[in-house]
Amino acid sequence: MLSREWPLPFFKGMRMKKKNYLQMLLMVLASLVIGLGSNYFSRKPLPLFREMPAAAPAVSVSGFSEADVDFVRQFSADPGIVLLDARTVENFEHGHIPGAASLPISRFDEFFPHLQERLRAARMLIVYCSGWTCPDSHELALRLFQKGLKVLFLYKGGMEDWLEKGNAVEK
Amino acid sequence: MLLRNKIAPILSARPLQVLARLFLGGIFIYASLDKIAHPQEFAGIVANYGILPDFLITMPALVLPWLELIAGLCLVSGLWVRSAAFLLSLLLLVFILALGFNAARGIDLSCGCFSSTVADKENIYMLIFRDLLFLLPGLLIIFFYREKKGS
Repeated sequence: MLSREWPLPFFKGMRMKKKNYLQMLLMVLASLVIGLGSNYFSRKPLPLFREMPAAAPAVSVSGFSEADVDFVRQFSADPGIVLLDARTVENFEHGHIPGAASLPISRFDEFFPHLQERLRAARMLIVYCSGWTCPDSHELALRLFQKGLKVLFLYKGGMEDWLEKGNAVEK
Repeated sequence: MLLRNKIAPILSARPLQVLARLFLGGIFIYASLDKIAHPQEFAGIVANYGILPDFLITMPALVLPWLELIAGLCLVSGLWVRSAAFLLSLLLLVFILALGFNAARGIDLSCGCFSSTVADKENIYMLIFRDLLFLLPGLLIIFFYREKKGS
């Protein structure tokens, strides 16, 4: 059926009939019903529309509290607080926030056992990665949370913000 | 003419079409299962893509995996084949754009393609390449699948 149309322009071959659109619509509707329905009846339903961030400025979408640069500067020298760098070891060695420990997300299982004791003894953990958009600090916070560590702060601005505000780095 | 007489019959040959259907359908069924089992984790991954506004994250995280499963099942079972292939190709296109957008921003994120674990990370350009490869059987079906008469 289709091959007969072939010398015609490329898009002819892609043409869908009304029937096809109807079938696609049905598939989409079915997944909507099943997806939302299973969520509704689930033991831990997810909220369909999350709160807008503006409604809860101090808490990030992930549910971790956020630390800003002043917060980090204030506590970076405190021995009870551990700053964790989620970036790679190479990046860490190239320059990090003074006092931070390296816990690269890509080698979490390898690094975590060595730091475990110190992290569990700490009063608070602050994690960061390269800047505003990197997901590593968030992932690291999640992994730590799964390990049972509780007082976690995300420094979302990370190295980018730290340098922008004219702070020193340690190598 | 060459295309119509020589190539098109090969590409619409039944064994090739069946293979394309099973391959694409199988991939999407497999990809959907872990995400259906862990909606919360998958929502986190959708959020990491940084494309949708926060309050719109949950809906696609809940619905997309089911769409993948349903369309995948259609392809594998031979029901509504062209429609399912079209839908999955559209999805692949969306995934490619979303990955490409983040590659351009220099963000290396966890794909959420086959699992809902954030720790599973692959090179973003490889992911885009892989999605482009998956698009091939989709296009093959859309262009060359011949429906049985009377169906």
